[in-house]
Amino acid sequence: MINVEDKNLRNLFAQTPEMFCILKGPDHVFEFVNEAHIKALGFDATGKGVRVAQPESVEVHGILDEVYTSGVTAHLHEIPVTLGTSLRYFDLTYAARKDQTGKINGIMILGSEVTNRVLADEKVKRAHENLVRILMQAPAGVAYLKGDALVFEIVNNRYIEIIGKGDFIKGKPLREAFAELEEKTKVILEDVYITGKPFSAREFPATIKRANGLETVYFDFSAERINDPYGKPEGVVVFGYDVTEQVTLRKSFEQNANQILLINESVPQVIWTADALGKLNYTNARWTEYSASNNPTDWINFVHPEDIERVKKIWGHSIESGAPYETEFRLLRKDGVYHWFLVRASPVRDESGNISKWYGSCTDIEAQKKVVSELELEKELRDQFVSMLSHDLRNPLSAAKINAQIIRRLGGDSEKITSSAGRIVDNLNRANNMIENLLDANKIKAGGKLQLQMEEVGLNSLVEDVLIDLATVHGDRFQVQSNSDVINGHWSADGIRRIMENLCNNAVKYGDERTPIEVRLEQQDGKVKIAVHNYGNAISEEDQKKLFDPYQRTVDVAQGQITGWGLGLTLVRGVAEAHGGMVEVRSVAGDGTTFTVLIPLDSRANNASGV
Amino acid sequence: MKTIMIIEDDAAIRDSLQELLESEGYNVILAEHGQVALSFLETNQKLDAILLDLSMPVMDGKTFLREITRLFPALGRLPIIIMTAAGPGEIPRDYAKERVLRKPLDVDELISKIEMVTEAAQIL
Repeated sequence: MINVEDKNLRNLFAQTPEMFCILKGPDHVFEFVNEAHIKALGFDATGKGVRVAQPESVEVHGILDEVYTSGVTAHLHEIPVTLGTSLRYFDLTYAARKDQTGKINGIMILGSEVTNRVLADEKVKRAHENLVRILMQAPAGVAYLKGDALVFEIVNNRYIEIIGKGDFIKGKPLREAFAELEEKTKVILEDVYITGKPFSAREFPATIKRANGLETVYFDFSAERINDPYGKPEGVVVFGYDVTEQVTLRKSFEQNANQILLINESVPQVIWTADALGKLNYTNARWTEYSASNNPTDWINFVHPEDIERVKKIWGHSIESGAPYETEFRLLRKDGVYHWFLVRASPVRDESGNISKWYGSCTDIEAQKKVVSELELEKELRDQFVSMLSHDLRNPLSAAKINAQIIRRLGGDSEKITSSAGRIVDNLNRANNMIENLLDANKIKAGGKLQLQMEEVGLNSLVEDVLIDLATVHGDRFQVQSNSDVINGHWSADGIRRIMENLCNNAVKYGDERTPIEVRLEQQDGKVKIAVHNYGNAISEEDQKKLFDPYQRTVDVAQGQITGWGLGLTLVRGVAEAHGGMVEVRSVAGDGTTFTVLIPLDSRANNASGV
Repeated sequence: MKTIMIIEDDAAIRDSLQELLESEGYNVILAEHGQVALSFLETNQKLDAILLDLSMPVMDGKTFLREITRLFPALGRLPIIIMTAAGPGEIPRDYAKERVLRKPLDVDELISKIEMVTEAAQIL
């Protein structure tokens, strides 16, 4: 019965595609092998012990011994077995075979080779590992969210970095890891999982809770569903780049650009830009308002024909040299009137120092120009008037003086007539001096140089003469000191006389009347020094600074009774400078005031009209 | 009797100078500007000196000086005394100082200069 069964069994197993064999005895001698077994081994091992037939298959020798000893069935899954020189994989079941008494007398082996499957699995596994390794090292943030709960199963370092939440998200479902995230963003990822439709967006804003609280960050990101081999959703892979910095920069640049544009449009000036070659490519609304032109490139058509060549030359020079551009020219207004403009531009340079563009402005200076030209005209008229008036005044003065002098001559012995006529002459001379001073001061004020007739002059006697004249008016207060009895030089005698008269008259006016006025003459190193000193109140330092300006009077004097036009010191300076010299003042409380004129011994070279 | 020509547009000065010089014993001829003076010289050149104002209408003193040299080279030695209200810049550059009078005129200076130039001319 058993034999019959055994026989039937052997027949059945002889046909099966699975490997089947029966081993006998403790040496595991192959008693029966089926076709599949022969095929797998490459030979028929019947009659041979396992260790003889397959000495290399050491992986299974021990297991067979154990099953034979213990009688416990062994299920071996994907067990590697060395056959010949190659390693192959098998799923095997070893079951003890017992006799009628229940004693183990052999082992039945049923199994199949799974080498191909194992190798394929390993390949897939290795590919997966490689993929994960690559993803982990990718410069982009990568995360794999698994299942419909979208659990963060794989996150690479970059992803953790850009999310800024640390390891916290690992193993957490999306809605827990990013509870703070906008609902629509969560829905986007869930939709990718549900629909399988990939999603991608640039500069996608997301509010993320980080250590410092909620922050808005921007990502370029894409999400794609991963399916299992049957097309069922497994999870979602997310790739992300943090572009917050670029977006912030761009936004602030856009804001700045908007502000600049706003400023450009709100200033009263015409603002423009030009390319490196000088071609205008932008003008603000002011230009259109002024010219009615919308085309920045045709500005040259609005330049006054008389200015075009000059403007082209200056602009061309700036474009070529990179020098800042500044000029004035006339531009045609839409109503056909030309206005003067001040036009300026500066180059903008790129990182390598090359000019990339020009920023320019045009300021309407028509009103200023008008005021300036009116002022200039007025000044010219005033100067002409002063000069004409004073010139013409000299003729009646001249006629009056001639007649006064005729009377004086005719007076003969009549003392009254001669002295009256003399007084008329003196006062006519005084009036003439005033005219002369006014004319000269006007000239000095206008920055001109006095023209003086230089001649040989004996300084000592000239100064003595002046002081004698002054003494007749002011009394004998003048004391002269000189380091030489004869100081001769080439000067304007009239000029020196005016210096002396002005300085001495001032000393009388502002000095203490009980004290002497000291005049000191010094010849030294080709120069002559004329110093006039008086005692009395000092001149403040502030007043000293403007003392020589025309029409200036110190405050004290202006409030007092002292008369004059405040031209005296201006003339002294003018005369000294016309001699190639200078004048200075020293005024100290308790020590009085000294005006010192320093001129070269020979002033002929310093005056254009010098003989 | 010496003859002096006065070329001056201002009548008050012209007449005053005439009175003065006549009282000093000079024969006086009057011209109100350079053009009148040149016309006179076409018919009569018997002069001992000229008193010339620089600033005048029609023909000013500077033009007169140029024209008299051009038209009457024979009068090259005739002394001409310039009278001017303007500064040194107005006087021709190489003009002798002795032949310049500044306005307002000083009678004593005027008479002494006229005497000097007429005597010098006579000696020559």
